[in-house]
Amino acid sequence: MKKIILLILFAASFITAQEFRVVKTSGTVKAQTDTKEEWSNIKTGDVLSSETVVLTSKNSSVVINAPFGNFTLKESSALALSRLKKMTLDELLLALAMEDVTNAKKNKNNGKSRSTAVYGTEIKNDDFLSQETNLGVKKLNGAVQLAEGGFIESAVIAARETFDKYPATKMFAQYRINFASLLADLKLYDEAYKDFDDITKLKLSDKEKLEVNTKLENLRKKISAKR
Amino acid sequence: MTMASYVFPQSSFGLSGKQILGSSFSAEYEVNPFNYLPIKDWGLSLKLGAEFNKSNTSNLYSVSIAKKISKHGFSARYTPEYQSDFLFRNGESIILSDSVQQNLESRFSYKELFGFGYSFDFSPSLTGGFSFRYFSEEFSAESLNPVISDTIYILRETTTEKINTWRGDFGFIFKPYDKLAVSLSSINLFSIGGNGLPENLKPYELKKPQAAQFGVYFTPSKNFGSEFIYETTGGIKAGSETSINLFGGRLTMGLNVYHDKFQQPYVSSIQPYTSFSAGLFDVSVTGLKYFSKRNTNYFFSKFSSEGISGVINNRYSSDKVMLTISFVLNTFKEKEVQLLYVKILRDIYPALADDYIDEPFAKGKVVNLTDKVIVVKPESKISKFNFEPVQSEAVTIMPHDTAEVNFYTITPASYSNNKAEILASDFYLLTGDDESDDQFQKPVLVQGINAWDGNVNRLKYFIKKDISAIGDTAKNILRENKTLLDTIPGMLSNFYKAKVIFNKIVKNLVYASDPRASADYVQFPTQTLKVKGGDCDDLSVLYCALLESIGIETALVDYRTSTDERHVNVLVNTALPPERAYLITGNDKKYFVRADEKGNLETWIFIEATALTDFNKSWEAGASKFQKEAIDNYGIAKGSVFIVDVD
Repeated sequence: MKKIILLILFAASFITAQEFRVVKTSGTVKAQTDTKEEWSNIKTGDVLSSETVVLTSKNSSVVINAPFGNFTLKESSALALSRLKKMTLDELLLALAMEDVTNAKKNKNNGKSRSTAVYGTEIKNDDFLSQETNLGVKKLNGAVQLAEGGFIESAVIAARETFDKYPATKMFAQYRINFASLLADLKLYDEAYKDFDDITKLKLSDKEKLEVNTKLENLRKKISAKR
Repeated sequence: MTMASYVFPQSSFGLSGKQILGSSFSAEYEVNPFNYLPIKDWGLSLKLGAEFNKSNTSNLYSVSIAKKISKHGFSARYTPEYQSDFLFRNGESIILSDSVQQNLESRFSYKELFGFGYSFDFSPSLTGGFSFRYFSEEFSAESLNPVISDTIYILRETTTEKINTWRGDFGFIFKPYDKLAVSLSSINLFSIGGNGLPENLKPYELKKPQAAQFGVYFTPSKNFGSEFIYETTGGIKAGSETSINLFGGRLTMGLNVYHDKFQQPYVSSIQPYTSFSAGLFDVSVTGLKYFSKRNTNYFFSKFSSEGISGVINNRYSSDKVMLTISFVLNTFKEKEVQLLYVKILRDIYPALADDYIDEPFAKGKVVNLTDKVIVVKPESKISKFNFEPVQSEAVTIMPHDTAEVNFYTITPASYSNNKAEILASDFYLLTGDDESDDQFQKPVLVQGINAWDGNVNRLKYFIKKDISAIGDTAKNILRENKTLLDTIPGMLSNFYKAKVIFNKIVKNLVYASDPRASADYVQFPTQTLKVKGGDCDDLSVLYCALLESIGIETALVDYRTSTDERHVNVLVNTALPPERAYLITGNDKKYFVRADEKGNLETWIFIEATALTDFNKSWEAGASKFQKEAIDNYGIAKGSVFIVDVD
């Protein structure tokens, strides 16, 4: 019995302390670990923990060896290594449910209005747009590659997390359409419909409008058929 | 010699005729020797009447008063017109000098002057009691006595004999069901006094036949009742009454029939009555009709052989009409509702003050005892805890229906007892005025002022209680850092204020696990500052209180493991839009985004208050734990991580 317990404990520690080995790097590749502020360069042979976020610059890439095999992160992308895993649909649903809780509107805002006044050092819009959008877009790129690698559920969560923490990225319609389509592919029609409906509020090209409306129509049919 | 062939008339005879289980009061010991009182407090009754074929001395037949004190019932009555007078010519006559013949007379007068009654409620269904009645009998006879002096003449003299007697009876009335009652009582159980009456007058003395009386009272509905009383001497009383609601009161009509073994016909008399009662009073008019001929001229021989046993009801009594006015005065409130039970839902944690205003600590079940809709106001008062009763929301209860009521409580601001105590809690029901209709007492456990029930939702009470007291500390720290705070962008104000306050207080604090089990003991912020340390609850509460006191929103994050181990840390609202989050961190794991009620997105950061090194380390520790437990392990979705807003 003791042996079984030890084995379980060992297995659990193995699972939680998952390691990722850097197989190959090209150009500038950086990593940020856990809650550290610093981004440090990584090189071939480095071992990274699952709490690491990997970031590639333009014309750069990295090949990472994960438990399931190698994964290539292309240029101008960012990826949390914890997302490099096969999620079940149940886990995806849990993650989506969590989004509703953490984003739940608080009951009271104390009547306080948000301060937009600028004192002391001036903060320029250009700064924040470049900073925020840059990293956010890179994360979306990472999520796209996750989906291409078959990690669809992880890709959806990574994208939604990005849209949440980097709100400016929500304006990029094509990304939104792609990830909403992934939800539809996973037969999460209600969630997909909600996303597409939200996308209609963006400034869309005629082609995008047509695509979104077609998707919405199809989803409507599927939702009513399900009921 | 006169032969005693006694007439035993119906003893169970009340002049009002009304049934004893009714709501009006009339101390009629003839039908109610056990002094059953259908009143809650005071009863007063006045009986006026007139007899046909007979001139009354007075029309006031009786005045009665009764008082109920808890289970004891007392009554008394004065009966000036309970009397029968008989005048006979004794057969002798005298011829006066003017040749006028005058007959000699004998006068027998029987009076019942007053009486007393006492009863005791052994249980709600059993009452026993006794009554005493005082009688006075006077016999006077005229006679002629020769007087010999210088001349011989005849002197007309009146001889008077008087005796006074007490009669006593006792009995029980038992109500096994609401609709049925039975009684058993004595008739003339004992008699005291009356000695010294000359032998020749004894045949005229009131007869006191000893007997028993059984009664059955049946009230199948509030609109109908009947009673049947049988005496072992052969007398029977049977009666029924019906009533209806009228003009806001109650109109009752009834009829009694009487049987005397020694009177003809079989039904010797009938007694119709009608009454109207409303509020405190009851007025009834009663008639009495005998079916046998009521002789106004009696034969002395017959009278001397039979005598009488009843003063107001005997073979010589005349038809009567009576007016009875009764008052039932309650100086205390009639019970309209009853608290069937009270269930204590939870112990009292004084620190969680407002929680007991929002959520009841006890529930009760109330029954409406009346025929009307009642609005009940529940109240509770915990001894040595509440100064005044705490009123709960009113509840409307339909007639004879039940309803649940909630009881709330308020912690006095001055309450500071730090030890748990079991205290008596009184639960009251009010209906209309300030007087309690029913009450109930139950013990309740009142915890010490620092006790906490383990629910993180309620830690906010520890934070809020000290916000004003702790405000000065927070402001002083901000004042010390004025130069820094004045130079930073306004939108970073919350972040930097949170940072300088944390960095200031950690210098003086140490982490100390709570030896009394952290789940049930929490220090108030001022206590933590005073003792310079605490566990995760205490430190999180202190930090939240400091920030809330200067208007920075906070929340608590409650982490639970499968073994029910708990940990609490803090979320701080920087109020930064997420687009600007990069101004405080380059790592998006160190914040998360929440929307306020208007939909504005705000950046919240995690602070581990027990990491008493510096703000950045505490932030990293808090973020790392949140990322792992709440996000990666889906703790928020699985219910092992909770976010509780302080305000």
